[in-house]
Amino acid sequence: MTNIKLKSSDDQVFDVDVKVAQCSITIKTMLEDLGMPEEEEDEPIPLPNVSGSVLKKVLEWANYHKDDPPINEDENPEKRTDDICEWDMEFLKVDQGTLFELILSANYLDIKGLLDVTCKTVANMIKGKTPEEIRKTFNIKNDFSPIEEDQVRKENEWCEEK
Amino acid sequence: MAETCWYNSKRMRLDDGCNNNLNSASVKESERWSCSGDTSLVEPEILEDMGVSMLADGEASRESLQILKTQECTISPKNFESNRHSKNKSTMYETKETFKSTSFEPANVDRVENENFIEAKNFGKEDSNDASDKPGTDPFYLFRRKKKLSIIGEDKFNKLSDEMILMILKWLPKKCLVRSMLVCKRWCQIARDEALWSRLDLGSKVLNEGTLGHILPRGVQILRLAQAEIAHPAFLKTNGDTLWENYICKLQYLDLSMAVVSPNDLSDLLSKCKYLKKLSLEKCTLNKSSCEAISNNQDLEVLNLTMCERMNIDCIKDLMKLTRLISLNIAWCVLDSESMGYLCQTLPSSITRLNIAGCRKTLTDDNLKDLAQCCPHLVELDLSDCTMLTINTVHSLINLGELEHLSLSRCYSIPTSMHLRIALMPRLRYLDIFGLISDELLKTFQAKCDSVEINKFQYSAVARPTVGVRRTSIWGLRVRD
Repeated sequence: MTNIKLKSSDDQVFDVDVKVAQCSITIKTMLEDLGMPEEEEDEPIPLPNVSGSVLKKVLEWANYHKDDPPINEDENPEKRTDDICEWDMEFLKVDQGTLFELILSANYLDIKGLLDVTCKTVANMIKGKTPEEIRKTFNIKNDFSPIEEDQVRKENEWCEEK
Repeated sequence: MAETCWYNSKRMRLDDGCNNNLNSASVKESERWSCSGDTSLVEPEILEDMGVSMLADGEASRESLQILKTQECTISPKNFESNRHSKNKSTMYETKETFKSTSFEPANVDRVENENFIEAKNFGKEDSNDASDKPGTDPFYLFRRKKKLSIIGEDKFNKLSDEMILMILKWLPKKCLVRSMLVCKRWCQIARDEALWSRLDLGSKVLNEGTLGHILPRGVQILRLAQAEIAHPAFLKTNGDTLWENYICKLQYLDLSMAVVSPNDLSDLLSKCKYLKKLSLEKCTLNKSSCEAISNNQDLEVLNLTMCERMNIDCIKDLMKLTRLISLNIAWCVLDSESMGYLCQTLPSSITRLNIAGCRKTLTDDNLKDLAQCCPHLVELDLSDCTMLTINTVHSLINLGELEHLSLSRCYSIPTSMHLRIALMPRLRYLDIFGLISDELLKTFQAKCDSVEINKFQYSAVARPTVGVRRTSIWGLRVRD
């Protein structure tokens, strides 16, 4: 088992099993392009877009999911958000800031499984809420004029009817 | 209930004329929508088959819900520190943004009140209702509001690119997606993305005037409108930037089976389609311009016209220009003899599956001879209830060497003795002869021809978008979220 070193934006270095690190397609491609580090003294791989605290979470997730089968790239996956496994649910009981940081990192590191599950979690926070409740949940400012808002509402009337 | 709404909407239109006053229209709408029934009493399975989307979310809260009339709300974080915890309604609100909540966005009154009413500090105006209506009267108030927004009103989505917000929105069912459109302009724009709208099920929905005009430009490609009621006009003259004159939509798969739509609106919709691959107009009323519009879809491969009304020879002439047609269902269309003759002489040779059942008085042996010559590659042919066909037809049928599935149910003039001859056709797998043979005889007959299954399919599936009770896909393509 080989280990590699990853360096976060705030210069924290993580010693990680290659298999775990390769959950990230970004790192995997990097390793393929640069070749596997052979000696312990090798420079750690810099990840300037990920902070130490978030990278720690990402690696925790990757470690748990390292043996998952690859997700098949169905172009039109069923829109299920109720299939988040229990471990992930527990793992994602974090504040909004961390959740969004995880989405950004999963996107940057190209970890499809983590990206899906974090996006689904946010989707679940949106589901069943009124627009006003959604705005309140995420501190979003309503920049519609009443006329514009009414126009959008009218366009979508069909959706509320049986 | 749907019917009531349908008529209401019509009457409303009369009352309002060409009303452009959105506000007044919206109030009326809210009254109308609010009368929707309680769907919680019906099995979800049944609802789904009826075309009601399976959206668990929001349903629970709706039950206990009241309709919020104009309600003032605050936008503020939950952890906002408040020295007092009064639930007094005279409390000052933080922002003065009001929104009118209709049943379109049901909300729990209690919850909104408890969470949103946050008392501003040191106002000493506990019982001043007026103050809450006139925010400008207190300069201190304005100061507080600005400060709050700049410090803690952090919208986490600002950090995400449009593409990443799209990745979140793609997990939402349509009902939630359209609510997201009302959150803010940015969301509204992202939620219109084509990727989110390529498949849409509007089966059994009541569509107000102009609704199709709002939906199609979102880039829908697979659309189920089966049993939908489409109000006139389907496309309003003014719809923002979209100019209808030369507008072509992206629809490729369109199911209008049993839709309630006027012939003119139907032709209006079809005239905006050029890329259709599969189309079902089961039980719709066609006119000359609809058929002309259909014929402009040169990639059309599957066409279901079962029980369509008012088809004449001009319609047939247009439809026969579809030279790539593979499956055609033109059963029970009550064509006259002239149209039938023309049809059988000009069917595109590309057709491999054809249902022409129910031509009780018009399909003759001669017609069938022409038909067999036009379409030598037929794999499936349904001639049920074409009662004029006789023994002479059998000779034409036997020449169809690729035929695998033949239905001759209730073709009473073809002698039963010929069935065995037909069953011996080299490629034949299924032969349906319902209504012609007793159960006893059927057993003996089946024993004689073991390579052919007799009476396996009571109904033809040629070109039909949905078969059986499942309604979540059309032609095998999913339309539900």
